[in-house]
Amino acid sequence: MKLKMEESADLSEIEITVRYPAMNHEVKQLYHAIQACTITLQGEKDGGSYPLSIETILYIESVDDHTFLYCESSVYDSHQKLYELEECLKHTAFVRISKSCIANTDYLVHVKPLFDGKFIATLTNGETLVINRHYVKGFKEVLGL
Amino acid sequence: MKHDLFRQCLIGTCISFSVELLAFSLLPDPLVPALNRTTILQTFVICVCCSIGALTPFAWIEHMIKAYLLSAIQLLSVLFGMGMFVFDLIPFDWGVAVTIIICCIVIYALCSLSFARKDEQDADLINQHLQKRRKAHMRRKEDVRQNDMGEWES
Repeated sequence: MKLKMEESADLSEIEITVRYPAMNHEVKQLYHAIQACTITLQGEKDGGSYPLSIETILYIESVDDHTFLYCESSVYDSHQKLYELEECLKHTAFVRISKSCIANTDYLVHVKPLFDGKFIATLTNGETLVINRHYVKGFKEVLGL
Repeated sequence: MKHDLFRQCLIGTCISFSVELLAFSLLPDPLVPALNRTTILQTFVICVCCSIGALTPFAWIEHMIKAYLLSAIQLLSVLFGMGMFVFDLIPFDWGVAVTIIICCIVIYALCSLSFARKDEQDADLINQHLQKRRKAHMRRKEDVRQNDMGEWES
């Protein structure tokens, strides 16, 4: 794969063109990776609204109809529903792991099997999340298994 | 996890016991033996024992073979209980009852072990992939950090 960088004063924003001989899995992956870089979620905290790069979010949880975005050092509110975020984060490192949680697989350290087909996942900050057995298949697919 | 198991056993017991009591009350007299304290107690004991080794009927709506298999064991246990106490088809004998309960628990234990082994293998595979992804993620972060420090310019 050749990678070219070109500086142009005519452009007002970054423009990416991907040229390929034939559409294949690698091209699709590249497309989704570039697309993922452009996604930001709006997080609210102490009355302020902050754009959050998805790379900084460890997991997203829905508690009592409220959606929370968990970053390494802070927690933000989100006005979006969990299913909307799931749709928005398709083809990224995020995966639904239970009815109320979406996890960023980039921050998972390891998983351990639990009783009843469930798994318990440990994050880089030491927190643990339960992967419900209903979502194990999707979780494996995101990891390419 | 222990709480989960206890809850499931409790629900399993309640449901199977209710089914058997319902059968007692709904079926006509000649078909069922007289409902007395001993019969209820025997029915309850067998429901508790069978539910220890099985999952709740909620598992029927889940998608894994494990749930289906264990629920089937529970269903068989309930049928056995009904055959013995409700319909009087199987003559009551503590020896037979204990043997069947032990068989159910052994089958459950064997199934659980085999599923647990499969889950362990899955976890190992997932962990290997997570490790690879983690390394790639760290590398990406490091690249971004270096770029931010102006290495890109040089």
